[in-house]
Order: sequence, then structure tokens, then C-alpha cells
Amino acid sequence: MINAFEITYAILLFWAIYFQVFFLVVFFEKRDKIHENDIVYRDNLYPSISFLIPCWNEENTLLGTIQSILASDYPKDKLKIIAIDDGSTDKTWERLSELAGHPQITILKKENGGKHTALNLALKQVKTDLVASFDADTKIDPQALKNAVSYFIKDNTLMALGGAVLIDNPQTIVQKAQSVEYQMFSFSKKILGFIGGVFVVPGAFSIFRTKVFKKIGGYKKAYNLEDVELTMRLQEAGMKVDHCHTAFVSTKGPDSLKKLFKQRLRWSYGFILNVRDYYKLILNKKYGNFGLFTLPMNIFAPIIILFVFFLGVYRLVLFISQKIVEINLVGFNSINLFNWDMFFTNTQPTNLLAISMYVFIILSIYLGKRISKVKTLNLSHIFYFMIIYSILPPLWILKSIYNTATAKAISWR
Amino acid sequence: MKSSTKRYLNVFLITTVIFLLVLWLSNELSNRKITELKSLEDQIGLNILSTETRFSLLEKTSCDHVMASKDNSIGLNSELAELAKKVKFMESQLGVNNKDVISLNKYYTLLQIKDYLLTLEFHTRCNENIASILYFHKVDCSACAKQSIILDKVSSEYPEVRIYWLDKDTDTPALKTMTSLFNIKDSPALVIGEKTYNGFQSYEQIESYIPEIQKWKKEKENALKAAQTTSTKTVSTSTKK
Repeated sequence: MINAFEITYAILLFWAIYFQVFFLVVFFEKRDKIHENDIVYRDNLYPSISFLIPCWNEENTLLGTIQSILASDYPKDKLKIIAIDDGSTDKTWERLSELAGHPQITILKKENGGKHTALNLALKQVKTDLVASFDADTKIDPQALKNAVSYFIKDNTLMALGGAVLIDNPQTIVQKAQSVEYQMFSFSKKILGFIGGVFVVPGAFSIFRTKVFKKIGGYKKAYNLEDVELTMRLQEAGMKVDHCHTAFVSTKGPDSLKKLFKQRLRWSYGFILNVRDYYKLILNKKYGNFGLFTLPMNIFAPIIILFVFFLGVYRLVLFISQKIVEINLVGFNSINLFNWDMFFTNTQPTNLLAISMYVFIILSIYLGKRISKVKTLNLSHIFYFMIIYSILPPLWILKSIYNTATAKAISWR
Repeated sequence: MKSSTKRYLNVFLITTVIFLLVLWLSNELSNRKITELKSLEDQIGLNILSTETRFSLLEKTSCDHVMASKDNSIGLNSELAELAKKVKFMESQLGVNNKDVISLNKYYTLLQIKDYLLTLEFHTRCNENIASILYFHKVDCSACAKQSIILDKVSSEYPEVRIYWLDKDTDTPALKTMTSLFNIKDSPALVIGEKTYNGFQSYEQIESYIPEIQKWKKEKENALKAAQTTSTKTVSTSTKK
């Protein structure tokens, strides 16, 4: 049926497919270049690097994180760690103190002031060529560091590089769902890296040339999403940002729906406000693919997610209310819930377009899996992903929009 | 910059092609469904014509002969019901104003009226009782939606009852004549045994309007009673042992 609703839906689906096709086109253009940076140089060519690890109540994970970094295949004299206790209330500082005197480790302690203040304090101590930001609950693969730094040796103009974050040994259903999501990210991040449109160099693991911070300044609070803000600033300054898909680090990821919701609410809310601050980049040719593709896509995605969600809810409510009417009229036994006749499949254009969009999503999960070298294809994880990620994202998007709207109202007074 | 502009255009082109392919596929699939329905209608039309022709020869043939022949329209009840559902579904998919849907609807309506008249004729000439319901409904009428559910149940409980689904919005003179002939004021409205019932009718009401159903019910009850008495007999004999 052709009406305003169908047309709107079709237009939204057109752009949703556009973004998916874009990723695939870049993938096929650059598929020979995926491994062009897989070079191992002689040890003396690797520059010095400092890992900054801001810690706030990380007594349990901190030592494992530092051990994994020290176990990296990298020249010892060129690898430094600066761990900052950002006013923890647990035994973080005691754990850090055990490491005092280690030739590669510097420990700092300060009043609690937020992640960005901890990072900025540590930045002042950095004397190496490169700086890595690293989360205290994350572990690094032994080869990841060399894989990543090789990018900087090969390309003098490269200023920042994001690492490939994966979910470490997923236990709960929520973590299993995230493991699929992160694999999918792996694919899209690599593609964005190819075209200079990296959306975020993740706080969990990313590497910068130290001089970058002299040019564009240190970390900002940025609505508790300092890594996204920093990436926007890098892109605004026209600095080259790339993604290394073989620099594997693994993080636990929120283990419950509630925690996942909280994390994503922070991401979504922070994204809205940072985009508001950097709105001039949107669709601005000056900022290349970041302005023309990355930002529009990230703004568009929540719109279609909400649209599809509300449509689904509407159809479900309609279906259930019809069935209730039927049951009231003729009783439960006469209801045939599953009469399947091919004739009655919905073959409206929008429905077929929506199906083709899902095909693209599954394709990018598959390609992400190939890129991130995960061998096992776990269908149950994909199933969890499909379920959780068709219900939860609309909710955190709505909540973040609500929060933005209400926060604005308060700030007006 | 140039190569990236080209990429944006290429992606746009590819997306447009995918979009058009999907539109074409959607159109192709609904065309297939329409063709399927048209051939179903043709088949029913042919059967009606065949039965009608036999009726004109009725002076020379017997009623049994007409009933016994394979392609008589009297046995087409389930097919008519299926056709009704499919036409309605196409209406929801393509819209009420779609050209194909309108022509499907018109043809289908005429077929039903024709079949109804034939049934009446059969009834008078052969003295054979055939229970039938003329059901007048409309799109966008909530009472009709309910009535349709009730009639679905009637047709699944009593497949022998012929139900004719007549959409009042179908622009056919024959249907207009029918509505004025049967004094149809409301939608939904039912005509059962030449009597018109305006407004929603419950399942029990409909059951009571059809004498045949009462007859079948009694037969069933009698059969059940007979079965029960035999089973109680066996029980009593077994207890005696």
C-alpha cells in the first residue's frame, strides 16, 4: 500500500542499505590492503611508548592488566607504564604500591577528578614518542603492541590508532551478545580506518604520537565520553586516524542487562552532546569521510533503530489485540496461530527491504569474524545478539534523548 | 577527494539498483499472487458455467446427475472461502484502490452472486436444502472484523454452510441490486434463508437461524447418546464380571 508511512519507511531503509553497501564497497576496494601493515620490523626500529592506565577502584583487575602489558612482545627499554590512582576508595593504591621501583612502571596518586584528569596528569610525565591509553580492566594480546606500532613506523603522518577490542571469554548471555557486536564493530572500524573516518579510538586501547597532545591539548571531560570527543578533535584538526584490526585487547564487558544499559546510556548521551558541540563537522566536506559518512551514519542509525522498534511494537500490539478479540469471540481452541501459507507472506517493498538489511547485517558480522580471526562461529551468540540488540538499544536511545532534553531545560534556568 | 566522491556516487547507484530490484521483486511476487487468484477465479467461473449449463438441461438430466459430476460448483465452498481470504489479503497488501485488487474483487463478487443464484435454483428444482449465508461487509468497520471472525468459525465448524463474502464497497451493479433487494441497511448484515439480519450477529444467533444446523446438531447428539449407551453397557457388563 502506498502511503506517507510506507514512503517514509522506504526512504529510511534506502539510507540504511546505503550505509551497509558503502561498507561493502570499501571492503572490496581495499580487500588486498587489509594485511599491508602486517610487517614485523627489527626491534631497534620500534619507538618508545608509555601506557597510561587510569584506575578508579580497580583492585581486582589492575595487576592482571599490567602483567599482560609487560608480557608484550616489545623491547623492554622502550615500554613504560604510568598507572594513576584517581582517588580510589578500595585497595587500588596498595596494589599499585607493590609495583613501586619497577623500572618500567611509574605510579601516581591524585584526588578523584574523573578519567580525563587522571589521563592529563599522566600525560605531563610522558617522555616517550608514543602514548597509549589503556583501561585497567582490559588485557592485551602479546603481539598486539607490535602489530599496532608497525602502523606508526610505516606511516609518518599517522597520528592516532585504535585497537581491536573484543570481549574476553564471554560468560553471561549479555557478554555473549556483546562478543558478536564487537566482532561486527571490528569490520566497520577497519573500513572506517581505510577511508580516514574512524569514529572513535577507544579508551580501552589506542595509541597516539605524543606530539598530538601538544597540538590539540589533552583530554576533556566531554560528558564522560572523552575518547569520542578526542577523536572528533583529531578529525577536526585533520590528523590521520586509523584502526588496527590485529591489535587485540580483550575486555570483560558489562555482565548484566542493567550494566550494559547504563554503559550504553552513557555512550549514547555523550554522543548526542558531543555531536552537538561538533555539529559543524556534520556533512562538511572539509572533514572528509568523517564529516560526510561517519557522523551522518551515527546520527542516522538511532533514527532507523527507533523507527523499526516502534513499528515492531505497533504491529505486535495490533496482532495481540486482534488475537484477544478472536479468543473472546470464538474461544481459544478455534484460534490457529501458525497457519502458514506462502501466499500470506508479506511481500510489500518495505518488508523485503527490511529483510535485505538484515542480510547485510549478518554479512558484516561474518566479515568482522574473519577480520578479527575468531575461528568459532557460535550461532547461539548471534541469536542472543539479535534478541538483546533489537530490544535494548531503542530503550537507551530514548532515555538518552530524554536526558538531553531534560538537562537542557534545567540549564536554561 | 575525487575518488571518494566517485565512491559516494557508486554506492548510491548500487543502492538504487538494490532498491529497484527489491521493488521489482515485490511487484513480481504480488503479480504472481494476482495471477494465482485470477486463475482460481477462472476455474470457479468455469465450474459455475458448467453447472449452469447442466441446469439448463435439467429437464433432460436428473438432479443426482448434476451433483455427481466432478466439476459442479456446488462442491466449491471451501475454494470460495479460501479465495475470499486471499483477495482480502491482497487488498491489505496493495491497497483498496489498486487496479488488480478492484478487478479481482468485482469478478469475485459476481462469481459469488452467480453461485448463490445457482444454489437457490438447485434448491427449488431439486428440493435439496443447501444452507447459505450472504454476508455484507465493509473495509474499516470494526463490527465487520468481529463478524468475519464469527463466520470463519461457522465455516470451519460447518463446512457444508455456504458463506458468500460480499464487500459492499465493490462497485458492481449486481451487488447494488442485491443490497436493495435484501434491504441491507447496516454493515455487517447477513441474509440467511431469505431473511435479512442487520448488524452484528453472534455465533449462537447464527446457529439458531439455520434450520440445517439444528438438524445436524440433533443428529450428532443422537449419535453421541447412542455411543454413550453402548459404552455404559460395556461398563456395566464388565462390572458384572
